[in-house]
Amino acid sequence: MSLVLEPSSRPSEPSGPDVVVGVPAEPDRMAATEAAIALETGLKEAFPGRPALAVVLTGDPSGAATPETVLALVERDHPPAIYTGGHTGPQAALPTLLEIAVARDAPACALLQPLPRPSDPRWLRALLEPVLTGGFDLVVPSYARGRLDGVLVTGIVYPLTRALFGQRLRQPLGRELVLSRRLARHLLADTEWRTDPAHAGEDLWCVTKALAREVRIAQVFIGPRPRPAPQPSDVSQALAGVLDTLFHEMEVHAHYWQRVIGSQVVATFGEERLAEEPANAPAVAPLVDAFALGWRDLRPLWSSVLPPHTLLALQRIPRAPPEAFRMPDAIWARVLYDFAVAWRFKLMERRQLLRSLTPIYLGWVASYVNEVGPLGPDAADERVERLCSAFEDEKRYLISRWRWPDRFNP
Amino acid sequence: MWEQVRAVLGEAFERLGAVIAADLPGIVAMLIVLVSTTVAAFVIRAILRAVLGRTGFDRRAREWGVTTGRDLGPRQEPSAIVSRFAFWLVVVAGIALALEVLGASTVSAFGLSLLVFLPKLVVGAIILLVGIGAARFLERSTLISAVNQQIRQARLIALAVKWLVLVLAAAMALEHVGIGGELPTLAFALVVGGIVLSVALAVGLGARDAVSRALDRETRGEPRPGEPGPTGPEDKVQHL
Repeated sequence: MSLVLEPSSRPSEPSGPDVVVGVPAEPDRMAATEAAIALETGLKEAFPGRPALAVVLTGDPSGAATPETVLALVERDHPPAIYTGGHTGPQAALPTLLEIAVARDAPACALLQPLPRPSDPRWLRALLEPVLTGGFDLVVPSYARGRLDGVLVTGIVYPLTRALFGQRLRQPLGRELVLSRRLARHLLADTEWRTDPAHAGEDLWCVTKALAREVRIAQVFIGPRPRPAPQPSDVSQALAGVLDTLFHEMEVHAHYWQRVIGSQVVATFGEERLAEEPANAPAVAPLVDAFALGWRDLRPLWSSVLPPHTLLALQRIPRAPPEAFRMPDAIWARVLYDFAVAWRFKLMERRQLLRSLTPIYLGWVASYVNEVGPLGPDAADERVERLCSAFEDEKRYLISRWRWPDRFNP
Repeated sequence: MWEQVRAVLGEAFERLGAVIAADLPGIVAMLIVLVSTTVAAFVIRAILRAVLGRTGFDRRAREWGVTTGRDLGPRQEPSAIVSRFAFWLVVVAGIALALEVLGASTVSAFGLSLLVFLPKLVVGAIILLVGIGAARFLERSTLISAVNQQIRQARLIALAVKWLVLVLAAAMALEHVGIGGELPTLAFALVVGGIVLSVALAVGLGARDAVSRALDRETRGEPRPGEPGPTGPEDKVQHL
């Protein structure tokens, strides 16, 4: 099967009757119902005369309909709750949403979080029009962020996906997606729903599938996030979860990304603005302490993953004072690439491997905060750009180690 | 006199011939058993090597922390060690069987007891091997979790976990094999009891104030030493 989709539908082509928007019900079904009602009203205002359907996707069968039942509904007072089959969260919601959208032949479907939205429906038009009329297959909503917000995305997800797939998608981990009919059909027909249910349906899974299929992708900046993104209580768990999905997608699409050189700009709509930031930057001393403790106790584990050259570079980073702590971009990129290779060849139990990266990640965060803290928005963007360039430059190193892990070990 | 000597020698040779005639089948059978089991041992070793190699046994052992995977020669890989162990097990079983076949009362009893003992030894070795794997896996898991929790004594805690599991596995293996009777169980209970008692005494007598302060911090929700101060969410890193 070709990795590239059929030619994209043109704006002049007749489109289906519906836009389907799904909102995951868990953990707060009431908030999801309210969000779905607001979304349905917003859709009517944003696209008058175009029937739209907003659904609440829940893992709780009580009071919920099946996807087949909802298709038969003609009259209804409020957005229906659809049973996702016992699973909860956006990962479980996506297949059900795709099923409904494909069955209704909807030209666009969107998975959105239950957040309080602006009453002005222009944001909905901005989000859906690239798919409905612009011929795009995937639109990733992006929120205005502070310079030091979302460091896991800035330091790992964005540079890594950009270096691998050659597309500059700034926030690939948004947990919100807008998909075209064609992409929805392709995703729904994917065999990984059966063969790899642990990863299928995650936002990164969808994004990397789209990136590897070279479909038309756009990102839309829709202003500040209505509510701050929930932060993980355990950083190492969050890091391991994100990296596990990323490395898994690396393995699945290895034949594709090894041919990609450099990166190109993704179609961007809306204005990328920085959000208001707190007066104080995060304290770096605890982060540097975490790195130093990891170096002292986890070095024997790291030595089976990282080559001596990288270990030496990490050892040479001065720890004091914490404000002077700097981790070179090339070393950080190599560390991630080495961990990806170790994950691929299972040099140790994968969860342990990924969680053992936490102290180095916290060290990189300290370095990033030290560097970006005093910078203005433009300079901060340039700093991120330099980081991404380092990831792209070091990609040859990744390819060499990926192909010949034993022979190429500097 | 020569007649008498000839008669004695003749009787002796007759007896020797009778003994050889009586024991020769046993000796031949013993040799056949020895040769067959040795050949079987070689075949089993080759099959095990091939099967373990194909099923990724070495990779799994590395993944579970039984080996580091670095700087291991081909003879030091877990699959090679298991194959060698199986080879010698079959050889020893063959010797025991050969002694039994020989039929001599003393050696037969020894062979029989060896045959009875061997399965226990195998299960004991398996218990010990699983214990070593579990100990290393748990040690690494504890070490990583403790370091990520910023615990300064991470290595000490991980080491304690490793040795606790190792001692438990050794006690279980010895008890199963039947070496030492009740002694391994008793020794294990004494060691664990001693550790718990000494930790309780150390905490109760030496670190009473520190524990009290830590409990106070937990109930008031104050940060631990080394964590950022109570300055609000703006001081925390926004990872997502």
